[in-house]
Amino acid sequence: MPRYALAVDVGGTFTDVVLCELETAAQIVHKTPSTPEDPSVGFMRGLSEILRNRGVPFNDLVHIFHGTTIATNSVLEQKGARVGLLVTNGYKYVLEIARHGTPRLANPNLWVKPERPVRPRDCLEVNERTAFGGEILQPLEEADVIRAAQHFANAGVATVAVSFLHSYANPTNERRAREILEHELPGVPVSLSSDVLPVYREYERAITTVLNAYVTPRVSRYIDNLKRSLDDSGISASLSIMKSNGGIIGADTAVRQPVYTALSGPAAGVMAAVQIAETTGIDNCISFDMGGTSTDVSLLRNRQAGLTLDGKLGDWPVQLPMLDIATIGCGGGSLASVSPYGSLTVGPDSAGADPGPACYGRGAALPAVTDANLVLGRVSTRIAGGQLVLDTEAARRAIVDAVAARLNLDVPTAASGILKIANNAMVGAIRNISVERGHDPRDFALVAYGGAGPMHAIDVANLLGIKTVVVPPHPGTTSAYGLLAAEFKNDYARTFPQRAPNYDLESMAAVFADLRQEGLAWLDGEGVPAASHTINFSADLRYAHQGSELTVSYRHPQVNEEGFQQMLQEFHTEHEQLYGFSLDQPVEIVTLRATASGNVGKARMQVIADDGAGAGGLTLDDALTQRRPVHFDEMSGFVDCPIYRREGLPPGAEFGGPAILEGMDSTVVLNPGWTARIDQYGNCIMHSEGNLL
Amino acid sequence: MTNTNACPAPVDPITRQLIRGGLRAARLECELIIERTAMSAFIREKKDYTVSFLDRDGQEIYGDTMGSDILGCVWRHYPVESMCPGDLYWYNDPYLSEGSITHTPDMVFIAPVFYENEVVAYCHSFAHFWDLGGSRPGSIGPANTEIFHDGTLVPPIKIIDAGRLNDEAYRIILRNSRYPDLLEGDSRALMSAANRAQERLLEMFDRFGKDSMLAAIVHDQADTARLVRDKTLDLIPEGEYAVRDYMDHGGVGDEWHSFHVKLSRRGDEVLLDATQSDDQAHGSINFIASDGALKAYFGQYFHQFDSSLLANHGLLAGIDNVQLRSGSILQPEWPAALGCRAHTFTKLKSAVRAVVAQATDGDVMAGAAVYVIAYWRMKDGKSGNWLLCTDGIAVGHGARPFSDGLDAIYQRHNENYPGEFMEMEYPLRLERYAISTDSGGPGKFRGGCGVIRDVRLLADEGTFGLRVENHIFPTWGVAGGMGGGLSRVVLNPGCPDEREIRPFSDDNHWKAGDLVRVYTAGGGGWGDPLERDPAMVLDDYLDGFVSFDSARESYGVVIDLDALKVDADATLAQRGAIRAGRGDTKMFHRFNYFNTESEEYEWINRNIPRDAR
Repeated sequence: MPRYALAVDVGGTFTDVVLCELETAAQIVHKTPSTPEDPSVGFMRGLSEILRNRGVPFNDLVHIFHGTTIATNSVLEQKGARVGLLVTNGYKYVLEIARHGTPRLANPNLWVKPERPVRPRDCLEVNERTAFGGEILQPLEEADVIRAAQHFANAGVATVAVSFLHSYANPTNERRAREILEHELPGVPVSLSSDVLPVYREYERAITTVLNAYVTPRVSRYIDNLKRSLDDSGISASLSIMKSNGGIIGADTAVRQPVYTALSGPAAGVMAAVQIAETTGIDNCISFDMGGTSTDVSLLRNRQAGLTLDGKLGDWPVQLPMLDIATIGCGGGSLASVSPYGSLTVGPDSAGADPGPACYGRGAALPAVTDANLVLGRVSTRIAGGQLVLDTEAARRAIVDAVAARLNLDVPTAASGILKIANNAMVGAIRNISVERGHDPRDFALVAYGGAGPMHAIDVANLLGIKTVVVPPHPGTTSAYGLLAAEFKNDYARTFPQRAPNYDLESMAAVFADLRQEGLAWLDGEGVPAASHTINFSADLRYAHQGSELTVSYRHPQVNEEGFQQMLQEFHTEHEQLYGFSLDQPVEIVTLRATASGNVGKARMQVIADDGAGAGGLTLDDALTQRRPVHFDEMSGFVDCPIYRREGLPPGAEFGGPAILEGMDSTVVLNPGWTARIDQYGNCIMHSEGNLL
Repeated sequence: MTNTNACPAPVDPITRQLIRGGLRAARLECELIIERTAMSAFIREKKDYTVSFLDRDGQEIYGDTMGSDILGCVWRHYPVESMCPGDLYWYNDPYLSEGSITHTPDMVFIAPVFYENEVVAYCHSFAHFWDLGGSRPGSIGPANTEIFHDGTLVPPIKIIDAGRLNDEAYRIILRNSRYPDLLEGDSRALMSAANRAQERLLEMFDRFGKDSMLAAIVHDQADTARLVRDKTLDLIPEGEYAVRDYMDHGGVGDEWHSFHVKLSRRGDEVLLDATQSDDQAHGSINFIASDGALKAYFGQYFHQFDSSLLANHGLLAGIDNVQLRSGSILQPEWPAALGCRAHTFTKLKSAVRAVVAQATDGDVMAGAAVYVIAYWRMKDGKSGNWLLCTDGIAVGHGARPFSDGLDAIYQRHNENYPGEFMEMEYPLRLERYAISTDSGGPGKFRGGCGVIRDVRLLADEGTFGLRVENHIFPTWGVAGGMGGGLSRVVLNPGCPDEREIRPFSDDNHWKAGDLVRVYTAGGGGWGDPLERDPAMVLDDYLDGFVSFDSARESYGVVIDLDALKVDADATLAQRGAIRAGRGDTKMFHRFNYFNTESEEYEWINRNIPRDAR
């Protein structure tokens, strides 16, 4: 009996579903409109449609992997529950003051502080105090907690966060507070900072804990709905959720720590890029996910996505391990306009879904990046398999009225200028994230996906000096594929301050052993087979008096002097690589970490044919649908260009640019000076023939 | 110096935007290099650094030089004919640079950019350094009275000569710091940032061509100049607009100091006269204001009307002429100390808005408080070493015509030390970090609140210095809005030995168990507080920004404490009573409502005599 895994990625407009037969890795994709009011409706519809279409019995489904934006959207749309926060005496305004700065490029005349998820009136102080080493200086004043619970009850608080000073070092007072709160406020969920983020820095820990509390009621309602719907349909498959760190966790774990799922969608895309890098034999690549309003970029070194502790959710820092993804405010819907004093800018304002770009014919006055692509012939007037017909005349009019006439340019020059400016912005951002992490982008390949990524990838690669671009077979649904490729993964951390030369290796071993135990217990609970359990240790280190740390792996199988010195050496090396110097100064330990991971059977990429002759004996010419004029700067204007149907291109096919590859959900632009080859997985691998700069 | 590119050929708008984008990305990249490779917390955490690009005449292409003539003093020693590829110039001397640099910790490194064997531009990196020697750790401080107390002066020197480091000079400068490792790490970071900047600029000359680059630079400067000039003339009718602001005292001595700026427009000629400012202070609050800096402060205000244009030399175009008086607090004579000039220039930046307020019926942000630094120094019991914690503390900012002022912000994007970091690193305990109730100036939009910060010493003994302003002179409110609350510092509040500490002072002693409480000042309000929506006043009361008494006395809003609701009838009556007693509001408020600086000057001279405290 064949067994199946199903991936469901819920986006703003569409819910993407991929069904995978686990033995053969055969995969099919399906799209259904999302249902933002209750995303579980679209989820169940997509699931039923794909299973019925393929005649797969519901019982044959063993795993369901889910990428959800429900936690993210609750925060971004301010739709979470009313939160009460309990803090140490003196710290009522920890959220209000935050780190006392404005964003780096904010204009102080105009910037307004974003509204906190909890007002100061619902942030209550209690008498208690722990020192940074974990010593309880003052036990919890229980009457204060009871009084706070009374206030929360009267105020209609639906969820409570507790974040006491230095609780990462000793959670005793927080745990006692939870006991009291659960007694006084039955049914109200309580999030403890020592559970959610047991790491120092009171503002960051408090806001992360508050966000966790804020989204808990909504996420748990959603997961309950899903589980009930699956039960009602007679589906017994396990349900797992994608986390921001690129791993998956069981639905019950997600309900306890929903804030960990905040960057679920983009993380899944990056995990797909990892798999694409593996199947194409590329070691170092930059994932380039260009959508409607923004572009997500991340660096993969040795096929590993980096993690960051400096992630953000909307306006808020969330210092949980997340894939290191940078977002650039430029996408296919970004609008071009001319400023009062004549400068042509693209983004960050976006056309959004409504009215959309001018070519959607809904009366948009400003042209979007997509409109520029359309008038230059780079994208067909019929997209999404002919479901959507674009209005070239409306796009041209918007470009003339808003840009070309004002700057005295012809339409192709104005349109290609809009694309160049958009690409220039992305190139600057990609270069900066590379430099920030100590790398040169020329040493990387570009893996392009998202609706608009494959259209801009080669232009961006040319500017960066990148010589290889890979576009996967379904660029518009890459995140859903990434869900199938992910492993179970959870992170455990404890702040453990240690100064040279008095490192306490014995206590360090004990902490690592505790973290390992927590990880193994979780993997067991998720039903991950013991044979695939993996625990990796790491530590956050810094030079004495530095204000920020670097996370470095602890690789030795035992905690001993040798392994410790190895770790210190790795810290110096990593510091040199990132910052350009290392110091002959004492190194401090701040936090110890463990990552527990395991595999329940991740899907391979599907091989479509490996004989080079093409599936069903198709040739390149069979895939040619038309020729039309397409504008390329390299050719100083419009040239007659072949247009291929992407799905019809046989594996092994090789051809040179210029060419356009039109797929169901996105278009690949192959520039002059580049060659393309279709590999056995249907990836389109493109190489530059020379330096085109 | 005259512009060598008076009338260049036009450059197409796409190329021009690509060049602007390239400059923005290059600046960000080079600033990232500084942030990631510098060693001192001031740069890495407080982020006090910048990278700028200058044209071959030394005028800004893009950056944050704020009108400074960065190259002038370099050229006096090293004429352009003597410069070579691979050279790097370095200085921090405020007097030789005539105020391009305004206090000694600010270091600049300048790389000439050579293209086709001639200098086509310059790149410049800048940061605030940790310690250069001088009277106390951190070099600058409230007690200094001569520039020599502020640490090592570096006149313009060629630190790298055609790629070769001038090791002799370098070792002398490093030797004079208490923390030579930090000084070396930070200066290396700035050198590599300046070098990367010139590489990026060279790539742009290659990509776009020399003629296009040089022409685009001139056009960009002209566009920004046109914007600033147009907006200046649009918003400021013919007439005279004068502002005076007051600094509590100079660190040493008790008397207050003031500066005075008068903008006058006759026809299309716009003049700025600062000659009626007070004489220079004996302490360290003197600010060497260059012509360019004063012009740029105004230009920066007008730049916000089209921020897609680059901040460049065009910012100076709003004002035709600046007059300063040598020996005044804005043009001090050698060797006056300059370390704490932030007191003066922060108020000067607010004064720009006070000028515009008079021309626009108050359509500006109200006065902002001066950001605060505390120098906590502790003697480590075991080693006997002295530890220094330089603690930046937030203040309140001015209310805007559309919104309340920012509560608890230091100054732009700088960040504070978390309490958990301070307690881990230093023998200190941060017992409270809270909003200071009622510190925001009342208004239809409330001024931002300052904070309360309670720091307890756990080490056996120590000293502390404080750079706290707005203890005597609050921020100003505008358009009917009222002045902000004052700052204050108390040792051991609520204890038998409670004692007021002078907020701008140094060498205060404390011992184990002592607690210092710093109250920082709030920003000014905007609009008549009697017009504030009572629901917003209630919100402020519930959240602790405004007290019950202040809601009633300043806003005329009576809160029913049982129901926690606004008592509408009592509020109507209370607002009527306040209005009857108070009369009409005026343009500005601080102590009292006033319309002109001379009206306020008289009041202050009567009520806060300069020398009588």
